Amino acid sequence: MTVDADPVILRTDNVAKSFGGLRALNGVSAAFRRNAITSIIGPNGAGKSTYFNLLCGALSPTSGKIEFDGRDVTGLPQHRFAHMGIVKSFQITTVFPQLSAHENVRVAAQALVTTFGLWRPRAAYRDLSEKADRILERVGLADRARRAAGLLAHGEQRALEIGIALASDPRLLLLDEPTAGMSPEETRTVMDLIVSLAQERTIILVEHKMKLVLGISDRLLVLHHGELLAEGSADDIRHNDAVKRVYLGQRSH
Amino acid sequence: MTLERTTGRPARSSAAFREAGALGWARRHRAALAAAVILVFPLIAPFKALAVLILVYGLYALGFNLLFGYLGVLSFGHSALFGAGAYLCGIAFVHFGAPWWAAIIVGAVSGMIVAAIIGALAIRTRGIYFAMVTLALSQCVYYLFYEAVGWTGGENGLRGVDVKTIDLFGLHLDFVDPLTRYYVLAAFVIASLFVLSRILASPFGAVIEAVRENEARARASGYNVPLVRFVAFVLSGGFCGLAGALLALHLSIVPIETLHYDTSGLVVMMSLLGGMGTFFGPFIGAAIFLMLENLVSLWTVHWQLIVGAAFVICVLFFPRGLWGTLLERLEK
Repeated sequence: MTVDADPVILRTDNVAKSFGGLRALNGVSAAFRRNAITSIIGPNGAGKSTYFNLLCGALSPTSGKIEFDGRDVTGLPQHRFAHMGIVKSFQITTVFPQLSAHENVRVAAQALVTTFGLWRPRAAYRDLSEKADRILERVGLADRARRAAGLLAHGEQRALEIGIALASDPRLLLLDEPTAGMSPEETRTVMDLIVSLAQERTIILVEHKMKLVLGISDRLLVLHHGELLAEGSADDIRHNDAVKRVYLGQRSH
Repeated sequence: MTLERTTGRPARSSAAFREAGALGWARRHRAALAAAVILVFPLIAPFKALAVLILVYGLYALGFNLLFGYLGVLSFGHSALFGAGAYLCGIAFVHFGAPWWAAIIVGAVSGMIVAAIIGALAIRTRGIYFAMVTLALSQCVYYLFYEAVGWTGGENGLRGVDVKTIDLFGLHLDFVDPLTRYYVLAAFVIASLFVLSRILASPFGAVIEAVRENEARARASGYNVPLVRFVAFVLSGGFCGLAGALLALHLSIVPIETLHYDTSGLVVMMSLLGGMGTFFGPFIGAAIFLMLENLVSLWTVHWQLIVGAAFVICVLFFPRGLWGTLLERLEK
């Protein structure tokens, strides 16, 4: 990539979001470093999910600006985000339940190639199939390729969720509580996967359980009441008094 | 479905997953098999005119199913697409003296154009709202054609779509003969089956199923969901408009009921009866519905009561439709 000179891949400039009278996010400015893991943490209702949805284009900010790779992307429709390389996974597992695991990944990969190809059979797009195979291998679902996604175990569905996101060749991967509802083993597997993915791309994680992400994050943002409370490395956050008060304290750390 | 565990090597692509057994073979040749059924059908059907109607409504249901079964969107306005195809085919033939084959093309294209207009207005609404908006717009189309008496014959329908003979590649065919008429129209239906099968097997076919399965996920993957829905609606309009054109040629008249919302409801019933989201189910549903209607109306004027009861029983006991349930059994 030629624009890699800029160490910042994504920047939000005073973004705010209101839902009717409710101000969910109140002017957050932050910069996300390229090829690093940045985690967004905060207690319930801190505005994490709202901020996340602004970053991936699912919501448009009420005010403020979002810049990706030096380009203003504020207010673009969400499907354009995926084509620029910004892809999210969902907090609640959302796969294509009746399609096979393989087709789940393949159809996501296809979005970069063709939407309205009506004639050439999809079986002829061998590269897409092979890419889906590679991704399923990577997320540990190679032997589940033909099974309907809706029949997979919860942990497998979460892994598939990441696989679907990877199919879009993300340069920026946004993961919303990727280990929600997972067993400790599954959680470890997914965390290892995330660390390995970060070698080639930028990852932004939203996580409620702070302990999970302190170890793997290069940087952390702490949100509280819709505002940026603190920002820094894991050590900075651990020793930040304000964070301790609103977050660690209440969770009897 | 047999689940082969791949050993060592990565799992093969679904393109390479050739489903084993008779069912897999049948799936790969679904259009050819459906065509074979259509070719043999009039030889065993009790009434030839009924066979032609089944052909026409079968195609109508197949076109509707592209939207209903594969994209997962319920339209209550498909009579507008079917009826516009029938009327514009008839108008081209009666008022402009177009040859029969050109009139058919006009019908199919008209279905797409009306679908594009209705689609552009309705496509951003969801669920029951989409059903209601399409219903309302199809009523507008109904009154438009109802009032344009000079062009459409209004209440009396458009008369004079009389094709008596067809000259094709030196062949002189008697279009009044029901069996000949059946096979001429069947050529269009069979061609549609192959096109439809091709569309469903294409990348776009994958996209509409993905949108049905999970719209938010499809959007996050980079698909322009409203545009996908719009294109599917227009394609559906092409098949339904073609079906309407075939109806006009078969009946030699376009009754105003073609545009009535009854016709929209009818196709929903046919699709559910046969099995939405299966390739040939809606056609089977149309056949069963029309045969029931014909047979039961022979001995009672209250045929709707019997057919309605049969429909309710089917929906209760075969929620995936008769054909859909059969396929499901075979898969196990």
